[in-house]
Amino acid sequence: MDLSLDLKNDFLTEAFELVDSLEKNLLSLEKDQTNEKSINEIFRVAHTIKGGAATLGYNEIKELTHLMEDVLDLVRKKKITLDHSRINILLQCKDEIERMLLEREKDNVYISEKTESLKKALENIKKSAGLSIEKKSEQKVENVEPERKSQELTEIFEFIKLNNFELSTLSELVSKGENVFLVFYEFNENYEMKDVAPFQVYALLNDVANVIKIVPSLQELENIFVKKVCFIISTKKNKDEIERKTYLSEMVNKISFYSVNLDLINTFSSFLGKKEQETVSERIDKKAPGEKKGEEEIQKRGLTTIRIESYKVDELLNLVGELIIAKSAFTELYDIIEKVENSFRMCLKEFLSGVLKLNLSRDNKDNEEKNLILLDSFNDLFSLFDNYRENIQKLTRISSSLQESVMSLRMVPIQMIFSRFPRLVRDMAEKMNKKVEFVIEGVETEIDKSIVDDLFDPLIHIIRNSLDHGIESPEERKALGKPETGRIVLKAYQEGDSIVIEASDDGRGVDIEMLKKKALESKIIPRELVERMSPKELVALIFLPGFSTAKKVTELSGRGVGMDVVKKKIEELGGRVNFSTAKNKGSKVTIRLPLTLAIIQALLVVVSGMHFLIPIASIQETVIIYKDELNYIDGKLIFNLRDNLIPTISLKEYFYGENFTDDKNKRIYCIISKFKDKSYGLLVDEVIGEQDVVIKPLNSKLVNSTGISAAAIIGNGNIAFIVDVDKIISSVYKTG
Amino acid sequence: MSQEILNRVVLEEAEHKVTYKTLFSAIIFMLEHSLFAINLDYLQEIIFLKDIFRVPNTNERLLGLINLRGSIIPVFSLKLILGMKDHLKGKNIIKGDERYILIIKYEKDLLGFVVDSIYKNIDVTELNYRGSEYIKNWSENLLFDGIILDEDKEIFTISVKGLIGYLTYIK
Repeated sequence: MDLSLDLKNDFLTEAFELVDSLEKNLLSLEKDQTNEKSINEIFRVAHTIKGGAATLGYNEIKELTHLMEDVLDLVRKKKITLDHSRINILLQCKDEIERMLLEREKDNVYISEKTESLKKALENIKKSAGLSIEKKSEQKVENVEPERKSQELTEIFEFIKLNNFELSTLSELVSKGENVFLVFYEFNENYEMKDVAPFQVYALLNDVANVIKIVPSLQELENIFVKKVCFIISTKKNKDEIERKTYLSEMVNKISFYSVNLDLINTFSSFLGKKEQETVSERIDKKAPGEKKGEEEIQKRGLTTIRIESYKVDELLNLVGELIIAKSAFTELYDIIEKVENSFRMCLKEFLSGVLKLNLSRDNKDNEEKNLILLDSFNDLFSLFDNYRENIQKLTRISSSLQESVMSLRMVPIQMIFSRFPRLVRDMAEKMNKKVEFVIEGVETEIDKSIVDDLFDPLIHIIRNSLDHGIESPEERKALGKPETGRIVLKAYQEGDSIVIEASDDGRGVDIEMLKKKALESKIIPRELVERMSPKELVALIFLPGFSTAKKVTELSGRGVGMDVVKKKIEELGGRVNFSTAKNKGSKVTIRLPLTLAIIQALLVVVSGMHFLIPIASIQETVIIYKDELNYIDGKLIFNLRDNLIPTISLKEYFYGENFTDDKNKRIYCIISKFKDKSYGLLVDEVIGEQDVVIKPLNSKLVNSTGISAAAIIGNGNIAFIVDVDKIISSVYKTG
Repeated sequence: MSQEILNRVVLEEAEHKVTYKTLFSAIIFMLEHSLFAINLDYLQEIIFLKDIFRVPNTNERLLGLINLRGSIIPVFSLKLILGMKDHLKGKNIIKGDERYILIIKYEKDLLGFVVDSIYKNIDVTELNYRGSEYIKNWSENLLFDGIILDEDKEIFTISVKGLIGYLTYIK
């Protein structure tokens, strides 16, 4: 395994995430300049990226982040404030770092004139604070408590041997407001049980603090007595309390505390930077086993998350899928066994009562004994069945929990894409001279990873439309009696088995009359049809390809490509999109997506000898009806369910063009589904039962069947087709 | 003198062996009584015909889907695509038999084609191959890449790219 490659990948993954958070915090800082949390977070991000870049020798990143760090330090110390133009510079720096990272990902180095101009701009900001770099470094030393000379710091650093990862962990803890100390204990070498002294101190420290690293390591201390040991700790308590709790006069001669702050970490980072002559891989190879263990210790204690490549989760999910198929096979087998068991019991009962009669008539003791042995054997068999039943139930429980856990691994907070919008909205609004307040709600809503990546483009289309056509100019808004600043809200929440994303604005909305006019002009739809259209139907026209209501084509939108693409994309993801609008009040786009694309609960049914799966989420109830209860009205099947006329579709007819009346059975199963607040019936030949199935998407390039959304493998290894209920109903009843 | 001629022939042959480098390897298979070939680079594996489940409301050339070790793969009738008759056409479930399915991988697409039997593997060289330009002279059919000349037979090489393009078009 190439460790330097691993290090590079780890750094890049983390850096991309950090860059995202940089943007988020800069934008919130723009709104509220006193937000110290954001200032600290931005500083931490720049610092961490700088550290990682320095370790890997990515100098262009290191230099830029170093300057950013300097500027941010001035902000933290309230020497300068970040106005709109300075935020702009920092945002551009973020873009530049992102570009640099992208190039480094491809093993290239990004060099641009823009980087130099940004560096100059950062230097100018620094100069405006009247501070030079030299002055600042002096100040760093001043800030260290207690005051120490550079030589002393070097000695400490040489002793504790912190690596970049450890430094960034310390930096994280300091940013979170933890007290981080380097505590040096000098042990009494004359103490009788001197060998155990460090372990006793360690035990006492563990009660009051989180021990991050021990130098030398505990493993080394087990073998040899060391007079001076350093414990690196993080704690909520102060120095005096720690000293009081751990000062064991007999065994400890002296305790020295060094408070760790970000300045000290910076100094240590620069020491680490000096050692860059060694190549990364050399350094990794030279790592002592103890040091590696130390890293593991920190990882165990300091980090609550681990990164896993998404393909590994997918592989795990595939395996869970196979397990669920195997479980379904066991459950099916159990159903058969249960039937066999029942008929066995019946037969046995009849047999024994018959034999009993014979015994009574012939008084045959031998037969009686044999019957008892037979009865015992059957009872053993029945208890085996019971055992099997219990184990099947256990397997079902465990596999369900496993499935839930693995599914949750695939889920990511929707923040992953939502966080990219504030900057885009800000820049677009600036370009259009519009004032917009962009609100994001429900960022914690979790969504399947495979959906999230495809969601960005449709959402940006929608938001761009809101900004360009929805939100009016400040003057126009004022004239309409609206606040000058428009409002766009992007909201996500979970509703049952779906994730709902709403994008709404308080802009001018869509003028229905204008839509009608456009529809007539475009001649896409016949005139008489347009005339008969309801307002709701007219609004739905915006999803037609090539249909744009924009009065003029702008750089951002209005070319008639957009909402139809949005609809297509969302439908490809198994979702639906809805649009509602009110003139001068605003518009709202609602996207409804499945919670997951991987596993669903479905009802297994048979149609013309083939297996089909109807998602449970689409089913209201299942009823058995007599065929003569079904009537054709206006060419469509209808039946009466509790005084409600239910429009019905025969899946046999829909999929195979066969008449459902051809079947000899008088009774037929009808699955009642809800679509757009109305109930519809789907006729099937047979209902087998509920199953958890792993959805296997079909290659849409090669396989395209109306009414089939995907396929799945059922318990016996056969393929069943997952029915797209909404599509079938909308295509038969033209509900659009 | 005759020895001289013989030596020249041997030398020429040796030269040919160097000159006519292998372009690609192909597998030759049978559909009814005709031979066709496919570039081995695209061949993922060959399996015995197993249960194929027809997808309703799809083109008849798509025989259906198979379960290949947990993956669902579309399987097509090469006979129907090439305008021959295929008795498998229109069956809801096609049961496994002695025929074969060639599993083809092209870029991200994985798909299968039913063939009657496998004939042999062949190394295709500049000597025994006529590329698409040759075919274009007398046919506009994009389903073939070229012709392999093997002994006295002319074997059409299926163009996997063309085939997938065609299947995408007719779906």
